[in-house]
Amino acid sequence: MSDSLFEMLRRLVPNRQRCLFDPSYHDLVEEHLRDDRRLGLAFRCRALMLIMQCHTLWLRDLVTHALSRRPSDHTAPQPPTPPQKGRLMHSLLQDFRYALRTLSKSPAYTTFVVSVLALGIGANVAMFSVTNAALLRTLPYPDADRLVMGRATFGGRINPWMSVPDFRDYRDQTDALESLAAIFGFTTGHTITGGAEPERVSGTIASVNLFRTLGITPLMGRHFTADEGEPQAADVAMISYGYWQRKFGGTPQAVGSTLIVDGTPHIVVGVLPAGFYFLFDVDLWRPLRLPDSRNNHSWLTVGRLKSGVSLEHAQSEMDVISAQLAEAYPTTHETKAFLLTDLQEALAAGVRPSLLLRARSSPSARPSGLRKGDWRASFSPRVS
Amino acid sequence: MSPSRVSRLPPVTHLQFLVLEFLGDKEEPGRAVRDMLRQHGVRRSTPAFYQLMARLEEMGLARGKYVPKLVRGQTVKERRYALTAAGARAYKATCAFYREKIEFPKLDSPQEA
Repeated sequence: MSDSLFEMLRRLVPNRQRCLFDPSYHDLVEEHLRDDRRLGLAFRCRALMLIMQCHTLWLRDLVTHALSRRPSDHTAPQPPTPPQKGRLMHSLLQDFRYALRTLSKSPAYTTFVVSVLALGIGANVAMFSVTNAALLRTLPYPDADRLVMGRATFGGRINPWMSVPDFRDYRDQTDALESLAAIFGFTTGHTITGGAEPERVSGTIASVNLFRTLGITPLMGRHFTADEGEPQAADVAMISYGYWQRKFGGTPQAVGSTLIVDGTPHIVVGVLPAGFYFLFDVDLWRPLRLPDSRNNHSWLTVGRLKSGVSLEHAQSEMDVISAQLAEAYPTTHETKAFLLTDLQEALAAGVRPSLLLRARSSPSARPSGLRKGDWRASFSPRVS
Repeated sequence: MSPSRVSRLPPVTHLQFLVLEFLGDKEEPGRAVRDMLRQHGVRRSTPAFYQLMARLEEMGLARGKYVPKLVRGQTVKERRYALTAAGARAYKATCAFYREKIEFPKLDSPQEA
């Protein structure tokens, strides 16, 4: 048993250190046999310790020999070589080597310091990534400054979700917005069959004009048409770039092919560009065609202001429409209104104060949008 | 050797000198060498000790070989070391260096008041 274990463990040791591991291992075997102990778990643990010690020695050798040209304490001392380059550089290098030697003599302290540094750098990188995405970087859509988020308010408090009939009323009556689109506030799970094996994918539902509103052009195929938002239209879907690669191997034949989604055939009409997401990173997008109740608030809206129209002007128009709807539907719309907010600000609203506190030293910090999953934090129930 | 001549530093460290001195003209197992070092207060992990021995071998001062031996009915390998001719010369050179320093001490050594 010990021979096979020896061969197995030996492979874990760097080549150059095997001459240290081999006799150490044989000594360990002898010690255990002399003490009449089994070559069991304790033995294996000690053998693993030997490997770790070999790795430590290997690393120490690398540091000592590569960075300090002085020989280690095991070799014969040599006279120091005189500096060849500038004195300043020589002195700096000496300090650097001295620091490395000192650190290598206190491995526990060095490990602690390196761990603290690694944690600190990691935390800062993570913080900057979030700050950059939320405050510094603009949203990845054309003319993103004209994009607005439309959220429902009840008695002045934001409840971002809207009903489909309300969305259609605002969409049809507005003049200030070039377009208004809706997206289901949640992701949906679907089973794709018809291939070699059934597959589970995530998806969501959006109004047919969502991608046009955002200014996204499909990589292949086309947008949803207005007809495809009608209840009797054929079932169609758009797929993400990732799913196109995974499922279809990136072939152009994907457009026009049929996917069996939860047992219903859907024709793939388009492939979204790589890296696209809006609120959700999903693989399957289907058109909104539900005749829904005014009391079912499950939709988020996003709009694009007409060129030259200010947000205030659009908001005042929405207030007029809200008042008309309150008159038409007093039971459901008495306290309901529609609040337009810059999309970037709306997405970052929940986390912006804390991020600004951290990023206050950066004068270039300006409001922008959150990405991926962070957007949920922005829908806190208050009017901003 | 003339006391006025500046002799070269010994080619080995204290630790290596200790090992060379212990090996002498015998062949010793690594375990015995390690026990000897431990008695001199040198505490090293087993791999670190064999690193010391490997360097002696690399320098051509010692020669190592595996010898099979029977322990409680099982065959185990033991690493044994012996001095090479170069090792013996290095040992003698180191002895000569220190002997010279001891036999011909400098006159400006501290003097009692």
